[in-house]
Amino acid sequence: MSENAERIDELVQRRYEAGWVTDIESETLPPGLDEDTVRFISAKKGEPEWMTEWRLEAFRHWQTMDHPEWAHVHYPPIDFQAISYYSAPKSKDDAPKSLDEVDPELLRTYEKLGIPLEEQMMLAGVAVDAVFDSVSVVTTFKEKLAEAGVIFCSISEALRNHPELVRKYLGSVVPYRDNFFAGLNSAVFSDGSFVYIPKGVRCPMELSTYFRINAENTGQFERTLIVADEGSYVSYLEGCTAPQRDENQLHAAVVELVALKDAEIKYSTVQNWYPGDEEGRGGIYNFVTKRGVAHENAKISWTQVETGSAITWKYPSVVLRGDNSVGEFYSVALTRGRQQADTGTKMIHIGKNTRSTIVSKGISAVNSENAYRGLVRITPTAEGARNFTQCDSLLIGDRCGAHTFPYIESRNPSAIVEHEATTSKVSDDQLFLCRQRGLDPEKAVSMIVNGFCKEVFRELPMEFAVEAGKLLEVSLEGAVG
Amino acid sequence: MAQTDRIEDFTRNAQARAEALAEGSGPLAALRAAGRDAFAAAELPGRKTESWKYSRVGALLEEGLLDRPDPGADPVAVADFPGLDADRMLLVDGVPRGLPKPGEGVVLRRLAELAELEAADLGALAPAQERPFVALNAALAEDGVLLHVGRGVRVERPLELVLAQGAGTAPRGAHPRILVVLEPGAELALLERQLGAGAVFTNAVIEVHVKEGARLDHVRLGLDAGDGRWLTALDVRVDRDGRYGLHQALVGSRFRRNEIRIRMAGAGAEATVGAATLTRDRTHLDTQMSLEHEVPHCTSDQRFRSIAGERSRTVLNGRIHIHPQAQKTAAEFNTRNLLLSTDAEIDAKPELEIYADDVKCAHGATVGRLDPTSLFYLRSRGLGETEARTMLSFAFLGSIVDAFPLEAVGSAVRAELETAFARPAEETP
Amino acid sequence: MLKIRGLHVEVDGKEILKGIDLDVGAGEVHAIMGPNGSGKSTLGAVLSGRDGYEVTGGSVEYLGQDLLALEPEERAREGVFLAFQYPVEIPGVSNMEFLRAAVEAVRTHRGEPAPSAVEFMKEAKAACAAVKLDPAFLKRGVNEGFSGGEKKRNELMQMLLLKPRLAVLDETDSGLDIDALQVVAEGVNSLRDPERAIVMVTHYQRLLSHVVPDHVHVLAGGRIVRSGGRELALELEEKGYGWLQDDAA
Repeated sequence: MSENAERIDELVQRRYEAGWVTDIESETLPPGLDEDTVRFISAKKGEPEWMTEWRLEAFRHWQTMDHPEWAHVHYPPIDFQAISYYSAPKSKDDAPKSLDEVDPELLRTYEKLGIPLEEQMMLAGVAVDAVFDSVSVVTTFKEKLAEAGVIFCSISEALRNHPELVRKYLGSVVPYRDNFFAGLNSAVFSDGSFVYIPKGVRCPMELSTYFRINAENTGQFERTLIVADEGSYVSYLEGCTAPQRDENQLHAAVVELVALKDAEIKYSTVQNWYPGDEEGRGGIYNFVTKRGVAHENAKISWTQVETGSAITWKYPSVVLRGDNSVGEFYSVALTRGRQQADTGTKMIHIGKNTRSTIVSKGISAVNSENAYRGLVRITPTAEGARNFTQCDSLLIGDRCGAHTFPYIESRNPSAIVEHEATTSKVSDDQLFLCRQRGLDPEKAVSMIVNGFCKEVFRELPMEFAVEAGKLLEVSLEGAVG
Repeated sequence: MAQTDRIEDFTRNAQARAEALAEGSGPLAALRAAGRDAFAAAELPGRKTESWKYSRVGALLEEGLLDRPDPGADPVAVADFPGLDADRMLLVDGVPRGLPKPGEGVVLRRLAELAELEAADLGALAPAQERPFVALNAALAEDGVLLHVGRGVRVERPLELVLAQGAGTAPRGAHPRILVVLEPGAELALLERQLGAGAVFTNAVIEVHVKEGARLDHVRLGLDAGDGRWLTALDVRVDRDGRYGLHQALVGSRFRRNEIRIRMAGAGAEATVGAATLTRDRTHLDTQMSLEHEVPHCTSDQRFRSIAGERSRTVLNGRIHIHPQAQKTAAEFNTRNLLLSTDAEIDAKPELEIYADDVKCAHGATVGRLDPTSLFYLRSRGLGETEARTMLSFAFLGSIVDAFPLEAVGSAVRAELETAFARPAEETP
Repeated sequence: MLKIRGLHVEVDGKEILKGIDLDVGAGEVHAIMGPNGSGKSTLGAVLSGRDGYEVTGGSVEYLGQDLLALEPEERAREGVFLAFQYPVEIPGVSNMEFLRAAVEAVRTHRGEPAPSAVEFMKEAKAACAAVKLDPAFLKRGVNEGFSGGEKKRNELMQMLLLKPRLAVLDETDSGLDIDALQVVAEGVNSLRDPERAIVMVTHYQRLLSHVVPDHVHVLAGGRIVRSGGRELALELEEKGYGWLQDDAA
């Protein structure tokens, strides 16, 4: 028996002992989930007692919940006892020693996306000792933020240094009762980002998980909390166009946004996790709960470009609680191979004169399934509320599926809700025009698809938009036959 | 009673009643046997059943749905449409009472007397699997009507199909069953009327087969509000180059749920649907529409217009399903809704489910209010506010009703809807 | 430059071109005229490699190579340009990015350096000016919401930018008012060059008063029934196509 296995064995034994042993030195938990697992994670992170309790309550509630089955996705049942819920930062011994050991397919993609070598190493998880130039970037970055009074750190750090803020807002937008995956996340989340923008402050730069120290190994149950105090503004970028090496198949993240009076939060995501191979083997299951609460005059805007994951199940939503608050959702979801996406948004209008806009562009290619699912709910108090939704689907090939499932629930006669959806394909005439002007078919298709997505890309921060365009191009390769 | 107990009780009682009807032979008995099996396998809709998200049937199950109606009951009053010259088939609580003598090429038969040969489509067009109430209808069907139009026969006089409830106050359940078959090239205008707002819970199933090149104009009226409980399933199959038009005017009642499934089963088939609905007071109206494009080169066009006032609820689920291979489909769905009260609710769920790429599909849905500019315009010309609102609201429904194929019916329905719209709200406790 | 021999083409199993022979030399301007349904547009479609046109016989040689063996984009890069009769709209793709990609593809193929953003902008603006198209059109989606005349001028603008060796104009004059026609004619004339050949497919002779062709061919019933100088066009103008129908039968 190897040393490692011995340790696990020992741990398993210990789990059945009466009482909880807090001073476990092991860095990795064996698969399995019970209250002790939850306590272990909390203890490992040195969390205050209230936090441990909260996690435990979440866990107990989660046990009473059913795995959701309403989404238009199919996958074998997940055995939640077969997953390991805690692993400390990966030992460098396991990581590839150099780029030579990395999957060449991955490298080819990096190449095409024009990602610098150092970044390629980081993304591929190559064990580099010398941390490259970005350290200095990060330092200046931190100084600038501190000057503005912005808090930007990991949730664990925030729990230590700003417990009152975390306690006040964590779970206030996505309670652990909300849904199955949010419940699970609340019990076992490993880490994530915390952002606080003080009153009246305009965050001096775009915040990005990409630059966050500690970004690696936040693991499969990530938790993000962003609080924009009155009159403040922040733009937050999540993810990266490069496919990240990742060994966890199940991801169940939770993102909570709180935009207090007059505040604005702009949250942009590019998701490009491993989608599995052409036959659908492997690939990430991405079950995310993202929601924001917009108070009076506040604005929350979600923009997402989703090209990765084997299964995507996510509905970034806005609760328009305050009068005159604004919610936006701009989405591009591209599926190919055997990918399945069920994604969309919820706009819950509660305040007066609240406004929401939904623009969703779904592109399905090859054998994939792509569904938009959205809810627009106008509650009786939402006097003068207004929603506009545009959902367009583009099909490439005749073996894929494109679906639209909008739910409209209106209970206020002064509100106006409008929904439109269309389905089209890349037309032969468009393709021919491009080819007659000298473009090869792949370039032509990616150009047409980019055009189809323009309304969404426009909402992305500049560099992100350029990258997203390239990403689509790379993702579409080989999808045109 | 708790929901689970209620469902268990109901299921047990329903099975017992179905067993009691197990005797007999012939197509109807076969239908009942299949219905019994399907009902035993099906699950009654619960809180998590997606297609029943906005309709709770729960407590209604205890109100006589399984009790056999009085066979001698007088039907509720059946008024004529001025100016309409039609042959009338009258069913009271699902049992035919006097079938007209139709013209040449048209056959009207009681299902109870049906020969094997005529029954090919019975139960095949409206499969009972996973639809507990369709299964229940089949399991408890004791009679019904087959309407058969022969090859190439163009029926001049419209046929009126009246599904009337029996008068009386004891809660009962009726399970009318209708089968309509148009042979290739046949043409017919069918006027279906759902009459009654009383104690009988009506759970009807209507099967329609429009064969190659045939044409059916189906006008469907359910204009009795009040306490009526109506659950209807309409399953239509349209073959090659066939045309099917569904023209509906419905008002809400205590419970009205309308499941419609139209299958485009032959290339060149066309379906058009126009529906005007009005719910007021505490009424409920749930339409579950599914358009199945199974083959290439078919066209469908659906328009729904709804108004909900007071404490009522209007639900519309409009699904377009394009199967693989159904290339060159053109399908459109559009619903516009007017919400008149803070206590009313409109739930609209247009759906596209698409598995073929060379198609033109679109849907649109709006929920809103009367356009203030138009309202102002009318008032500036001297109309009172109420009058102006009525006029505009009604213009909205009128666009559907005015397009009804039987003109006499269209204008009568218009008047009836106008009255229903204009009357003062019922006192609500 | 272009040598067509015995070209037979079918569309949906129906023979449209029934044996075309045509020689177009560098520096020449040819007009192909003919009544509706004579197969004029089919010729342009086949030369540019559009799907759905089946060549059942004959050959097309372009600059010494077998044109029919090339993919549409290869033909474009080799200098074949088709100005479409009905240019398609591509929502969301701006004219500018579209053209830049096209110019890059074509010039790279020719071994010329791709223009810098600034150079390209200059060229594009000049091309717009030449066809009197507001440069604002560069920022709009390809043909998106353009009027008929604007689409035609947009085609011409692209032609000026791409500098083809062989330009085929498919009914570029149809639907244009006289001012627009003049603009188009000036554009075409500015491209006349000893190295370049132009084939104009048209129903009417009016474009030919502005762009004087060296050769005129009359296509009827899938065959070239008459060839001649520009006087043939004038004769057609006068007599219509009717007198040719007998020849075609």
